[in-house]
Amino acid sequence: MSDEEIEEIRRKKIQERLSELNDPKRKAREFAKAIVESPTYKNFIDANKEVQENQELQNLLREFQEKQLELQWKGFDQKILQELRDLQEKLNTNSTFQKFINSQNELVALLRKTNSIISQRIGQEFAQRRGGGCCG
Amino acid sequence: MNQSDRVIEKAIELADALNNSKKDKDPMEFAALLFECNLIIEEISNLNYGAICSKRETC
Repeated sequence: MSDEEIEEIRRKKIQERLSELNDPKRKAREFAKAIVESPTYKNFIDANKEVQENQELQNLLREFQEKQLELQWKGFDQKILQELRDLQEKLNTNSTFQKFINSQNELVALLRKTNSIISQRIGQEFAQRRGGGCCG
Repeated sequence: MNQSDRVIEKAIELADALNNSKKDKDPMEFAALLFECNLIIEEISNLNYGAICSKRETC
C-alpha cells in the first residue's frame, strides 16, 4: 500500500470520527444529560418530591381540583367561587407549593431558551409535540 | 461555567449538528431526525420537552 493510500485511509477515518462526534443524536443525548445534571432540573425534582410527600398539601391540591370541577358542573356559584379563592390563597402562601412553582417556572424558562436557540439556528421549530395535539 | 450555562452550550452544539445535518437531508428525513432528537431528550430527562417548549398551545 502506497503512502498516498495510507494517508487517504487516515483522512477518511478522521472524517468518520468527526461525523460521529457531530452526530445530532449523540448531541441530543449530551444535551439531555446536561439538563439532568443542571441545578435547575435538580431543584425541580426535589421540589416535586417535597410536594408529593407533603400530605397536607396533597389534600389541599385535591380539594382545589374538586372545587374546580364542582364549579364546572354547577356553573357560576358565588359560594363555590369564594371557596376556590380561599383555597387558592392557601396554596399561594404554602412555601412548599411556591417552591415547586418557582422551580418549575425556572426549568420551563431554561428549556424554552434552549428551544429558541436551536429553532433559530435550524430555521424551523425544534420542539416536537407528540400525538397530534388534543384532537388526536 | 455553571451547569445552566453548560445546558446552553450543549443546546448550541446540538443546533450546529442539526444545522449541518439539514444540508444533507430532505425535509422529511430532517423532520424524522428532529422527532428522534426530541424523543431522546424526553427519554433521558423524563420531561415532555416538546409539550413544554412547543409554541402551539392548542390544536
